[in-house]
Amino acid sequence: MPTTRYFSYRRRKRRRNFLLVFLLILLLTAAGVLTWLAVSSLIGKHEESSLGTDGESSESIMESESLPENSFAENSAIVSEPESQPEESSEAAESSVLEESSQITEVWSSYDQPLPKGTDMGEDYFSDAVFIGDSRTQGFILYSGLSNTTMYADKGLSVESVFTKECISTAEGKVSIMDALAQNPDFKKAYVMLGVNELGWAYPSIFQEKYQKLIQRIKEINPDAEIYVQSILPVSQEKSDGDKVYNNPRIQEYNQLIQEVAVEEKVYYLNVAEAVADENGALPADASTDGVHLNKAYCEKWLEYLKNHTVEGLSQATAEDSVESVLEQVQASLQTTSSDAADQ
Amino acid sequence: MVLKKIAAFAMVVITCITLSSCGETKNITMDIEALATELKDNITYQDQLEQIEPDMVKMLYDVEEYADNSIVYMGSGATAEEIAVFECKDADAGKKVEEIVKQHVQDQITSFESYVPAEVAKLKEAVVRSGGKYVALCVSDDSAAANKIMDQYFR
Repeated sequence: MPTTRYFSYRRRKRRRNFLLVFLLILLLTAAGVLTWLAVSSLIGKHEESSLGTDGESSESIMESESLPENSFAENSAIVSEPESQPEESSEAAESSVLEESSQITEVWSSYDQPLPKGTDMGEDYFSDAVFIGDSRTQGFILYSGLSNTTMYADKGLSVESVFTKECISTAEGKVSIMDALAQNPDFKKAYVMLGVNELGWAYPSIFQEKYQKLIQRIKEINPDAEIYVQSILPVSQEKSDGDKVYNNPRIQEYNQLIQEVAVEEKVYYLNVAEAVADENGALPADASTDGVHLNKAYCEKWLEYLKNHTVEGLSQATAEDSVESVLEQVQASLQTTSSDAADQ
Repeated sequence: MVLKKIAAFAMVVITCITLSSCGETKNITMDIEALATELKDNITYQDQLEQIEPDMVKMLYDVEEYADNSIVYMGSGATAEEIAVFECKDADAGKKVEEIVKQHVQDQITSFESYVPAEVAKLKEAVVRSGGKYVALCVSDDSAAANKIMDQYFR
């Protein structure tokens, strides 16, 4: 009987050992499966983010061009994808990206700052634009070679005569610029540069009032158009020093008024002056023969500025930055997870 | 007999008309680029004249229907100074373009009258020449020099 008990004890012990080994294998397998699931999930996120950069994200940004805030809603969707990741570092990356996006959204929506630089949108961007301005705009269009755009400009044009001066030839005869605009309301962007001919006005507040009226009229004609108001370009130092009316301090005063209109009317203010001014804020001597009108080389600088300062260009640049930032964070998380799995 | 005389007279008249119209068209051929360059280089301008891209000419002149080639130099806007030379499809198109060019000068006078009145004098002395299928314009301070250069081309 003791022998029987001894064998019985040995059988129980073997069964226990077998069960322990089995449980250990089961645990190791489960751990392996979980690690594999975690790694494959991260790889999946990584690939989705990469596709989003070239495909869906850029399309959705272009679709919402008239509503800048919507563009960032799309951007938020892109950066919010990795939310399911448990890693703290990834969450921190998301929040920093969202913070960054919202900061730029503020620059857009507050309109109290000049539109920042974005991606170069090329010359085709202006094919559905209208340029409203004076002789400087005329020179700009002719010298820059923007043959696919629409120019409503005339010498000596002001925020007042834009409504009254019949200077645009149509099939029915000559009409004012605003009437011409109303007859062709299918533009998508309107660029305005006016103010230099009004520098001599006794009451700058009247200039501001009429400038605002002009912007409101453009909105009435086409409520969906993006409106860009451009700063008045400076004059040369020589011209500024010798002229009581056409001088740079006066231009800066008027630019401030234009910027106030931009804030009130929620339109984009472009500080084009920075594209052509020297370190003193004046037009360089070699930029113009009379200190006011730009030559071809400086009109090309002006065009470069406009191509790089658009709402769409800014959206694209921000989306690219956001995706790049998220990708970097995901890659870092992936590396951490892989090393953790290897340790296990 | 009378009929023969009338027929002969008609032939003479037709021949004369044909010959005279040939004389009017002058069968001029010229290098419009050479003329434009000569007008630019041999006349002193106050402004920096820059050549406008061929695509941009339509913004200044509605000549697409009539002109095959054009060369236009424009000032920056500080002055009314300008050079424009057109090679049209034929002599009739040349006449149309000449009218368009003259109208352009008139429009410029209207624009500059209230903007830079001093430029109106240049516009009133603008040299406009046409011959055959060619038309040329030069707005400068020196219309005598412009005429002299054009004489060499519109012979």
